[in-house]
Amino acid sequence: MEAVVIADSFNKRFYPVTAERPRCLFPVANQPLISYTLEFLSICGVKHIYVYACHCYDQVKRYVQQSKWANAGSPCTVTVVCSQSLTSVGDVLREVDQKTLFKTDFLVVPGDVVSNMQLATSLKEHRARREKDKNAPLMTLVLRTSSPTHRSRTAEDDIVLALDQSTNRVLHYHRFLKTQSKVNFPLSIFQGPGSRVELRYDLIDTGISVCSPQVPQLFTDNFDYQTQYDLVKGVLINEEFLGNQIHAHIEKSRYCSRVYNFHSYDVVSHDILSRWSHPFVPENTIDEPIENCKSGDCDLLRHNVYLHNTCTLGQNSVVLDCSLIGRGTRIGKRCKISNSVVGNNCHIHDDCIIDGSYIWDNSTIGSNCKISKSFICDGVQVHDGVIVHQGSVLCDMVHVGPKVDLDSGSVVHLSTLSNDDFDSDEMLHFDACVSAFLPYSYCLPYDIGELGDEGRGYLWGGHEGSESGSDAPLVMQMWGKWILDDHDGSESELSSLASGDEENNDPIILDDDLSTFQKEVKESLCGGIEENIQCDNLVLEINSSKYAYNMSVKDVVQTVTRSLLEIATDRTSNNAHYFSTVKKILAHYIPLLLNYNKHGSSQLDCIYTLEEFALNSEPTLNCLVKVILMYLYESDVLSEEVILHWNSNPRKLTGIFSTEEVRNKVEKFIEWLEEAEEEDSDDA
Amino acid sequence: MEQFLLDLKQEKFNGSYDLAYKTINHLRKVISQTRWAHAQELMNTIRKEGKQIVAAQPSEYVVGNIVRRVLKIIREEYVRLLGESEESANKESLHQMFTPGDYDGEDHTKLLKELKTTVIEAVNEYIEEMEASIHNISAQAIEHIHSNEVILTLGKSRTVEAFLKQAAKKRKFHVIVVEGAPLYHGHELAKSLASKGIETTVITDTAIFAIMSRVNKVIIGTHSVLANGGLKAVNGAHMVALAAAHHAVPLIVLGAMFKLCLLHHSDIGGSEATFNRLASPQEVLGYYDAGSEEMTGVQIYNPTFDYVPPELVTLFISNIGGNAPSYMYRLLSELYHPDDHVL
Repeated sequence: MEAVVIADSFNKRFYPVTAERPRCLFPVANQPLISYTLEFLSICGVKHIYVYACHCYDQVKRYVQQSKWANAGSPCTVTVVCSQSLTSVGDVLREVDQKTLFKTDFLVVPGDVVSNMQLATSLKEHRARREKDKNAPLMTLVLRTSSPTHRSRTAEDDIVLALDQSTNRVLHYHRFLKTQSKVNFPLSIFQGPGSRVELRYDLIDTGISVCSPQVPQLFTDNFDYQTQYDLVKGVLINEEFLGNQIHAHIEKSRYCSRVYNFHSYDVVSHDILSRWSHPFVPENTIDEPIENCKSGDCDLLRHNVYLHNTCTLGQNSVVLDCSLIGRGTRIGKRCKISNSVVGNNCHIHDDCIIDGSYIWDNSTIGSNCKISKSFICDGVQVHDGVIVHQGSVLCDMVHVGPKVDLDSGSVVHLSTLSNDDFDSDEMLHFDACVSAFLPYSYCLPYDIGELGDEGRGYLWGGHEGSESGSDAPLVMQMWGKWILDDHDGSESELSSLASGDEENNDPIILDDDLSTFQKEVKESLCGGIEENIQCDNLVLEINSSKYAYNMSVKDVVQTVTRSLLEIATDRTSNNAHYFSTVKKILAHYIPLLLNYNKHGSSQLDCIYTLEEFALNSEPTLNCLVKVILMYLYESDVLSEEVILHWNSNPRKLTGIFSTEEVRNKVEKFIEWLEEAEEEDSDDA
Repeated sequence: MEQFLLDLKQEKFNGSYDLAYKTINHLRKVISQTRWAHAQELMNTIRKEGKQIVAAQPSEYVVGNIVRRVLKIIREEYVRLLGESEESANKESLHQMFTPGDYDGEDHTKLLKELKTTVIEAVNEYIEEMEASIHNISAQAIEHIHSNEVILTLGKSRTVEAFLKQAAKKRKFHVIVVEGAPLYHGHELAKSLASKGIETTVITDTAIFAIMSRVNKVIIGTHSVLANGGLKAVNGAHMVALAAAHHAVPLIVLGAMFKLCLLHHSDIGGSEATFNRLASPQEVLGYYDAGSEEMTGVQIYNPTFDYVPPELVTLFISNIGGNAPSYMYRLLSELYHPDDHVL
């Protein structure tokens, strides 16, 4: 069994915390998030895991290399695939398709899953279905039940499913957008013969799916699919004529959650401390190589309090329910810590009150601080007497204080953000007026006013907060509890990112696009011959690629012509057969060529491309006249004016052969053409 | 090696007998496949290996017991091959124990050719003994269960199941099975007993005290037996033992010798994590409901084990016969060598 782990979220929910650290390496209960996912998969018996890393891929790679998975005795192989060009789950699967990694069913798992499920059952179900029917069952989505008021629910993942009761086939999958409150079910799903349809609003999509090898192909065929949701929607819409089916596996008893925003980070951490994810609990260090694991390192006390045995607690300090104190952390006198996770080597001074907060490694909290429901990253210094209100985020290496009162929902960061980053960020959902916001840059002084005299860092949108007034919804949005925008947002953000890239470094991106476009066209033409697809459909396909990569008509004509000749070359081993192959291919694609070569200019493009190709390929050169030009002329793809014009106006093209040689070869044909024309005019 | 450690970590074993069996087989492999010159070297290898496998699953004491037992076997075989009598080697004189300095362990570095074969033979013998342990325990059933008695048991223990079925071949008696929430293994036991024609009643955990007055004997299995004769048994066992003591009903504990361990409750009592196993609360209250708004702030626990103090246990029946809990220390000194107490 093999799995693809997508170690990138392709959105910016955690920005600016994720500016210099990928989400999958966030410490959750003091262990990197991805270690939960990898361990979970290895327990499920997955033998080979491909981790697709994108943002900060070097960190992911380093982590895996240093982890136990790189050891010789590791139960499964973990391969990290790094690429910064991937911008969505769809891209990852297209990449998978390109490499044809999988010949059998495989798993697609987001890199932020914490679970103790046994995937074996869903796999077995999937395989049984595939055995019964070879092609139809495409993938199995793994969903978990949860009551509609469940705290692990967020607006981002609010789904309604229509399922066939007996087979668990997904008939309709709807994800709520914004504050939408209506769902439309297609009537057809209720009209199936003898079908019993369940409508369910008690499910959470775990993001895990068992995919058959056709899934990556589908992503390749439909370049516009960005997420798994797109695929599900697409397959369901096309179910009737493509015949693919999607099934659901509903997990009722085991734990499975994703960390995809601050709110879910909070929920998952709390669940781990409450032991829902057993055996992935803090005292079982899953991260370390198995030889040096010492399970006794972390002591579990009553009320789910975990203290590492190297941490020290001062006099009269108390750690209350569901808290974890990491390795080497020192806590002063009279502190009160509840529902919180404190990382390794932190120092908390006297008289602090910390509730519902997450403090990562190497941070210092001064005395008399109050921190509630906030997120404090690595190496943060909070000076004496600071009050951090609900929903605040202090990013890596920030200094705050002394004696300041941070508003609820403030985000303090040190990262070097440009204005562009700001615009494309969708975590805080600035409206139009906000996007024209003052640019931040290095040289700006730290926001001393808000952060105190010792403050080092910038307040994220701090000036804005006062203008737009209402802080509370902003906080809630950020923590993901009631995110107003959702799925759509991530998509639009992606497209805006993509377009932004194009503007910045035009030539490189364009070249890249052209080559992918060429590849795509060639693939669809190739497939067209093999599967005998109607030219009309191929035209549609090529046109859609054209729009996707923003190609001109000229590019398309050139690409199509070139691809056809390349296919012919690829397909013939022997030069003797070349004629017949070319002829066969051309015969098949005449309608297509006719479609693209309606105008003289495109015909010219076509013929020059032919020439260019012929210059580098002897067999093409030899049969240029006999087959290609003649045939194209006869079937009205190229008009005689165009051919004559081409002949009299040679362009400077380079290749193994010279343009003169081409002209020599076609001499007879041209003569014949001219004669024919003269005859025509004589007749007239 | 790695595979075995992983299985241990992931709790891929079926009860403590299975675990013990896997451990001893693993150690036998180590003895036969690693290179060693003399007993000392072999013991060091076993110790090193032992430390790792104990660390992989510290709450499963059986693993440590087997490792210590194998060390003891090596010592015995070494001494036997040297031609000394076992008696003299085992017994330390009071004088030896109280004179500091001059006793620093025996010398195990003599090269003995036959040691490997004899050690493996002895280990094989021990494996046979383990395999026969359930049979040996259940063979004593007839002496303890009399006709028309009412027997109460808790959850499901393979040993208890075999014991009761053995007795049922000769006698007619009634079994009350406590279901053992939240895993409800008691239901499985009841089904299995009923299929053998034993009169069976299932009760809830909360009914233990109410029903205890009509019970003649309580027979339970155990996860392990601590050095003081106390038990680490399935949760609910303490409640059963207290109810039995209140009604003066004898409490009989069944367990093979390999469950006997050197730990005292106080050694491990400080940390919940190593003595007990707090499993996912899922079985107690599903995540579906536990996550709803009304339940925020509610904590749910699902401990797996109970500690039963030795004064509540009447008799401990192992494969070598019945013993009082107060006699455990004596059995321990026979089973394990004092030098191996700390691996």
